[in-house]
Amino acid sequence: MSVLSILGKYKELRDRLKDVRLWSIMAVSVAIMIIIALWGVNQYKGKANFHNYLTNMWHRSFFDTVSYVQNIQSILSKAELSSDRTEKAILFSEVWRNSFAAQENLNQLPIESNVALERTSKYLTQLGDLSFSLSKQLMNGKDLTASQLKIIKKLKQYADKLSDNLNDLSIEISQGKLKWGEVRKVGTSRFRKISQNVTSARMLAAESGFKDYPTLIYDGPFSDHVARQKPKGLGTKTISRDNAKKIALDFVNLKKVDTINYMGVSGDKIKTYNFEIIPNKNIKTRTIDIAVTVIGGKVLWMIDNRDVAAAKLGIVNAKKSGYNFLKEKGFTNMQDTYYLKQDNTALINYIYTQNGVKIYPDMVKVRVALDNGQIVSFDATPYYMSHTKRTIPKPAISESKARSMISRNFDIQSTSLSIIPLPSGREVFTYEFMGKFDGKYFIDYINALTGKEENIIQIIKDPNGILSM
Amino acid sequence: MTKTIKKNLLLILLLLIGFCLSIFTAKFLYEMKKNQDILIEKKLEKLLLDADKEVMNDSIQTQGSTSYQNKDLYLLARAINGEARGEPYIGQVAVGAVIINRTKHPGFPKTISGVIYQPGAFTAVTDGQINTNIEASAYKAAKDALNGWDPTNGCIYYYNPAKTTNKWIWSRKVMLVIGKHRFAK
Repeated sequence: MSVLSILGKYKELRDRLKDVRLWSIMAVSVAIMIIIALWGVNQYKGKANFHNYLTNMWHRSFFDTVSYVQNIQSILSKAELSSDRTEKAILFSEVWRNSFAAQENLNQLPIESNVALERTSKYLTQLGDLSFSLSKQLMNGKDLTASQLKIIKKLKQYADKLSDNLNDLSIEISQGKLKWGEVRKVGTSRFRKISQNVTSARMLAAESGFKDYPTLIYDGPFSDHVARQKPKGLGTKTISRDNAKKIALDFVNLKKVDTINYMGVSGDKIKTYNFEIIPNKNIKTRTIDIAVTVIGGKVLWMIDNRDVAAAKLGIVNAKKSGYNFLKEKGFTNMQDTYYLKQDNTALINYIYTQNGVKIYPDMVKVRVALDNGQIVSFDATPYYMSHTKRTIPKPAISESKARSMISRNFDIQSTSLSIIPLPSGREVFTYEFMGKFDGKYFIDYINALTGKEENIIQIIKDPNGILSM
Repeated sequence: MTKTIKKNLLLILLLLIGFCLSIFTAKFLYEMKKNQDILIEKKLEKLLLDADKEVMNDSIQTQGSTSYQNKDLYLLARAINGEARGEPYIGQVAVGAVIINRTKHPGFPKTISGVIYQPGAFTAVTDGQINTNIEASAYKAAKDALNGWDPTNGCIYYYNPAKTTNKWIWSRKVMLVIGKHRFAK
């Protein structure tokens, strides 16, 4: 029935529309269609523009990487050939610059799971880092040793291999056979993503050449030995899980503990039993996480994420409660250095002192809640990594001699002896000169045995803390 | 044939117009929703900006030998928020620690922004979740991570076994599990 009535209405409408000129309706609808078409074209153009822009950026990164790697190749050959020490030092600093630039550009490439390029990336970083330390060594007047020359020769072979692979790729990319595009494909079906990931696969193939890459040990922050350092301050005794649990509970020293959960063992340089303590089941936001070392049974770190109320304590009292806390936990001869107030807590760095010499590597960080002085976080990883009984030598040069090594414009305000860590992990015995330069505070470290300037750090003082930079 | 077309010309035209109108209504509705989204986004942006100002008023985050700046804190907090919202607090610190561990590892970029924006490194960056509203715990976790707390003991990878499709990552040695994330070297 309803169909009939609709048909009837349609007939009625047709009759009425007979008066209207049909062509005007047609013109309107054609106009609308043209508008839609234009809109679509515009959208497509916008998308194409973005795509071109991204592709151009990726191409730039890729071709930059290729040219930096080629530079490395030729400069390394020159460095091998060169007989002049200064010239060599300059060439190695060129290698350093080129390999860091290559690494940076490599990491810009849109490769699915880019992190899989870790080995290539590592090679470039270590090559740069090594070149920098060799350049420093040459500038200090020390020639390269036979083993160093051997390492460079080996690293140059890798540069050749990498360069060849990248060259092949760059030809295919220039000819348009390979395309970047993985980033765009997020959201399409998984299978298509894999099959179209040709460029990624090719880049990863270039990576496989680094399988037998040697372990590099030299005086730089990215040297392999830095990642392999063993803790010196933990002793040898292995403790059981139950023992560790007791140590953890003793450490937090709470009146009431509702639950303590064992979270497993983790870590490789320092293995720890991990526990999660819930002091009160009703306060869900508060948990205390704590790690106890398997060897030595020491608390490595602790984080209590309780909300801290408005600050009542000043920094002097906070330092006192931090000091007392450390004393109670068996850390003797500790001295506070830098601190920072944030979110109603004070983070204070304590360092070990031996016969008045500041030992910066042996550092413990303590966070004091400024509402009641409780210790809410604790980290002794640096301390246990480096703490050991050291024999500190007598300074080979006098304080006034060391002072003469420093710029005259530096207004020295205090002096002390200290042991500081270098980026490579090596420790050096130094005079520490704190003073003012250009209205800002600095510390200048002069080696107490050789007189060499080892480090300069800037000190920032403001109402929230004293920090180093 | 032409006769039938002529006879039903009006019907065809009506259908065409109806079709066009429906497209326009759809577009109109879409635009309306987009405008709404833009409005919400603007509000969020303002909130974030306020939060940002608060952070900028804090002092510079430098500790001992590590020296990181406020811009890093903000960025790291956003990354933690995007990657580990709803995870236990210690899991959020751990995600921050992994990012910092990468800056010290030879195989990765040397800056926090470089690590976070490395293409394909973090899903929260790829899908834009890094730009969502920041929860307070993410800031707290970012501060702990920047100040050197590392619950992972030097891990440089993590993944959610339920979500990852990347076979390669499964080959890494798992060091510990926190919440939904596996942390690996």
